[in-house]
Amino acid sequence: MVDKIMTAQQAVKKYINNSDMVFVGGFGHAIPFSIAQEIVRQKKHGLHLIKTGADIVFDMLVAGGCAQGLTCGWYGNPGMGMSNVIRQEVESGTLELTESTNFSMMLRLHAGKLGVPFIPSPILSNGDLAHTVSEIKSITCPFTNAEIQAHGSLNPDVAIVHAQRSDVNGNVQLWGSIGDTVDGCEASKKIICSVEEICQDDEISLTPHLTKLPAHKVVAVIKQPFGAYPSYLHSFYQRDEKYYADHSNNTKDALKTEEWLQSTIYNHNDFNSYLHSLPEDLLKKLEWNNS
Amino acid sequence: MKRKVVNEGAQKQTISDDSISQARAAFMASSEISDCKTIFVGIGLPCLVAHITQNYTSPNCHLVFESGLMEVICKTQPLSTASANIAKASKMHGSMLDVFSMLQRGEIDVGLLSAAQIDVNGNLNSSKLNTKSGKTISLPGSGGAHDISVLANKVVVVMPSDPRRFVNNVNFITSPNIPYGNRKGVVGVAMPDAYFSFKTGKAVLQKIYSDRTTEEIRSSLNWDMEISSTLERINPPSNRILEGADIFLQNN
Repeated sequence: MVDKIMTAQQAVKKYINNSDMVFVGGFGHAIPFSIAQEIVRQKKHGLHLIKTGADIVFDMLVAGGCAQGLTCGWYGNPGMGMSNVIRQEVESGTLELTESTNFSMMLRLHAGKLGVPFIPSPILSNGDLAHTVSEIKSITCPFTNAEIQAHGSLNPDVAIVHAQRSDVNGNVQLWGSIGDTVDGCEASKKIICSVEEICQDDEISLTPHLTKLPAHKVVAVIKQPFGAYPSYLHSFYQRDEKYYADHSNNTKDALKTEEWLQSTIYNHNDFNSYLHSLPEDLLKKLEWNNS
Repeated sequence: MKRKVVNEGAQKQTISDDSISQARAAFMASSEISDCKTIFVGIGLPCLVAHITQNYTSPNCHLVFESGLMEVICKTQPLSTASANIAKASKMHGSMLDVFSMLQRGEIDVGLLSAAQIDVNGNLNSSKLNTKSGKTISLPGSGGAHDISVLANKVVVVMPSDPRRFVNNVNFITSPNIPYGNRKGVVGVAMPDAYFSFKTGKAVLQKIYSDRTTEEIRSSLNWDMEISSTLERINPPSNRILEGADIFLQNN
């Protein structure tokens, strides 16, 4: 069995190339903040980010200068509002934003997963979002002769994802709200995964129904407790609501955003160093059973 | 924030005007949902509609969220469609593809949505706003709103009472009121005092709370407003529902 355990530094250096198309896993849950921090720390650039609904981890990647493009159905701070960072970068012309819908993004990733060039759907036939995405084209259904939209497949170069646990070979177990994670990972050419726990492969064999990402596509397994902080991970820890509530103010202008990146990323050699800088007891209070 | 006394008994309880306003809009929307229906719930005010529907008006409804959560008990307000509070209170964790597939197959009876703007034809905008000074303000975008509006068997919209949100033409059509096949699209919009039906294609005042007048509604909106010949006057939500809504809104 191949041992794929490595650090986030090694994984990002080895498997994420500038200008890659990157699928970011986690939908409101299990968001791969620790891997994203490392991408910013290593100053990767020119990435094209792919997502259904883009959480504040995208602010981190965009503000860190890593992204040239973002294609998504939604972007912002869930339950809190708008992304100041993405709005500013789009207005200043440094980020190319392609707005779509969550289902269309899901269909395009699923087409990529199935290995077919497109999936037909009636969505995006009308309204001001129709005909704005060049990979969505009107076709005639060969059965009904009705017009329908072909949602072109997406096969990102790499997926980054956080999950509960894995063995050293990359049989990754993920549970809780799944969102777009599994389709996005399976559509991608390779998967970089951080997990809370590394477990023995015979433990995985006891619960194979929890294994959601196939080992043959997983190229790196990173052991990173609290790797989805400040988002939440089912059975492990709660979302840090204060972090999300403060985020809009922490990124209200370029200066504040730079301070935010400095204090959360640049001041630290790795994610554990960042976790150690958090207020004492914070992570303890967030533990799943303490809520 | 101002709070209204709703219970003068031993446990005197007060509720903020904002909670009352949200509860009135949500209760009005829930009056459009019959029992045992499958509901695709958007984030924000639609969650309060789901809560009131499940707890007071149609207790056997099935709640679905776009993150893939199904059979959700909506006890406390979620901040996102994947929040831990609803993930813990759900009976099935599917994927986003699972729930949007249900939607596309026609298995969603009611889509519940809110938006930044709604126009007299039931088109919704959650993408961009034009200001009076000529600037354009970007909003977070469709998410699943466009998909729900096109694919749900019917869509009920719920909005706060703000004349800037009720316009004759939206600045950007994120979710066109042009449903797929024989589905019904946006059938109506609930707000804190009234419900407008789009049955004829244009907004018609169909329901009004008994403590409001049609003139009050007309003056609070920017719409060219028609009044139905079968206008219904309905009782506002009870204090029990207002209290429940207040607790729901405070617990997130």
